[in-house]
Amino acid sequence: MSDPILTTTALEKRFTSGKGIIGKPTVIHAVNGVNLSVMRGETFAIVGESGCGKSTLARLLVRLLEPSEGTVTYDGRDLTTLGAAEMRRLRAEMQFIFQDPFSSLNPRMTVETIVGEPLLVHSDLSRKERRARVAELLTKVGLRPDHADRYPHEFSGGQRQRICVARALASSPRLLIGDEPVSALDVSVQAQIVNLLEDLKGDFGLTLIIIAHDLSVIRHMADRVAVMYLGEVVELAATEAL
Amino acid sequence: MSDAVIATPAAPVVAPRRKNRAWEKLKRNRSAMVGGIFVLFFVLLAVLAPVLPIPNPAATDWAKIRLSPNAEHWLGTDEIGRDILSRMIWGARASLMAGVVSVMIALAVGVPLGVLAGYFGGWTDQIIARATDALLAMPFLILAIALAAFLGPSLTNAMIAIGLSAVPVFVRLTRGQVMSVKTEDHVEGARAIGLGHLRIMSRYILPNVFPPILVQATLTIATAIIAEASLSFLGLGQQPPAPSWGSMLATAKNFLSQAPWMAIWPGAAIFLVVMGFNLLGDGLRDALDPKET
Repeated sequence: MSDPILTTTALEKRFTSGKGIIGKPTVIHAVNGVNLSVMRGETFAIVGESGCGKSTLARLLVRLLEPSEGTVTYDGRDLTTLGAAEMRRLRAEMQFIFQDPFSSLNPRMTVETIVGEPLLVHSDLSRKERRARVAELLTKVGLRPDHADRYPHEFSGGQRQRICVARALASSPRLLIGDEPVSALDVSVQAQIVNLLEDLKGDFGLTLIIIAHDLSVIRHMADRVAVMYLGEVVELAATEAL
Repeated sequence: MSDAVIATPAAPVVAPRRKNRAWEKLKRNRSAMVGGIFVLFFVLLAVLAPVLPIPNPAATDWAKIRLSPNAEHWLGTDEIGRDILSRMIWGARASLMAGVVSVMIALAVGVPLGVLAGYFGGWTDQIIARATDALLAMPFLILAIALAAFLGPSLTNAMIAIGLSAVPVFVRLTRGQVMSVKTEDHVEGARAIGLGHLRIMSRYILPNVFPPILVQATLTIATAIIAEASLSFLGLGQQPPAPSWGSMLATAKNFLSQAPWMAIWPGAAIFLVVMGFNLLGDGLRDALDPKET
């Protein structure tokens, strides 16, 4: 719990809008010169008000968005210069959980296919082995193995988020990034998912990066917290200090 | 140890599968069912044409020219004594084939282009979308006539011409649908898992844009049938002596006052089958719309 697993240097993302023939385009600095180091095995939280660039930052960390400037280094490798195929292979190790469990699951796939999808790409398990692994993962996140044959619309928000967690764990990642993983859920369900993530963190030896706007969620999860304001990290401290 | 902490989720309510729900909704839609029955009727006629006990559609009989409907020739005969019922049934093959095959062509070309344009955006999109816009600027039928004239008159060429003319509609529809599906989290999620573009397009995008395309395809079959009839009417489609509804109408226009039945039957058939496909398409649209119950 000492060396950094993920480091960003001078990370910047600009969005250009209103690029017309007449008039200057508006440039928005969503993320502006962010330097972070996330240590192996810690729970790192990024908080800030709406629109401060948290989600953009989260996507930059796993290169779901291409940064305008700066670098992201994961485990000694610069993600921003990796080729497409290499990046895809590395995605097995870094998984993402989205905020909205209603749009983050493909409505036309069964739970088994959804959760098994990372295995299809990142492993050479047979169909049967995949099924067994999916059943195991579903049990791990508190669902039943027989849920595998159902479709996402048959589940509640909390259960869907559990499916998302199961999928994220399928490829045995080392880094899990949650973009407000609980803010779309009821308060009672929020606690369940938070507990689930904490347990899994121990079981799988994960590093967690949690994006949130709600400090109460962070308080009993995170080791360190970065506070963002207008695209910049304005404060970085251990959770107790805040 | 983890099992103790994880709260057991409540047993989920078992909801019916999505596909069944759409089918149930379609079954309840009376006009869609009527449309379906019309379509089915003409498809059966077309398929069964070779085995039905009907005279050869090309056999002429100079003793029986332009007979009105009677016991021997239920729908009458045409200007060179051919049985109209028989020609109607064989003509159904040409019309339905033209409808289905040309829409297949339009789908095969238009949907992949639309997916590429919508998914990749940027230059790919600019090129495909601008070309589509240019084609859309030309009226569908004029484009089909021009293409058919260029390719030469035959039923096959007419189908190709109609199919290609319908491509822009499918490109635009697919592109728009893809652009809206693309922004959903599960597509980004697929990227986060590490899936390749091809896999994302075929497994995440295509299944989710399919329903509106299916509806459009059904409605376009109706348009294509009219287009085939128009091309045949102009002599660019089915060639004599093989029958098609369009070419039958073309001949019939010369005998409207003497032998109106020559025009009425093919006209009615086109009307019914087109209405059938339109009703079915509308029904499908309602049935596949998840927002309506």
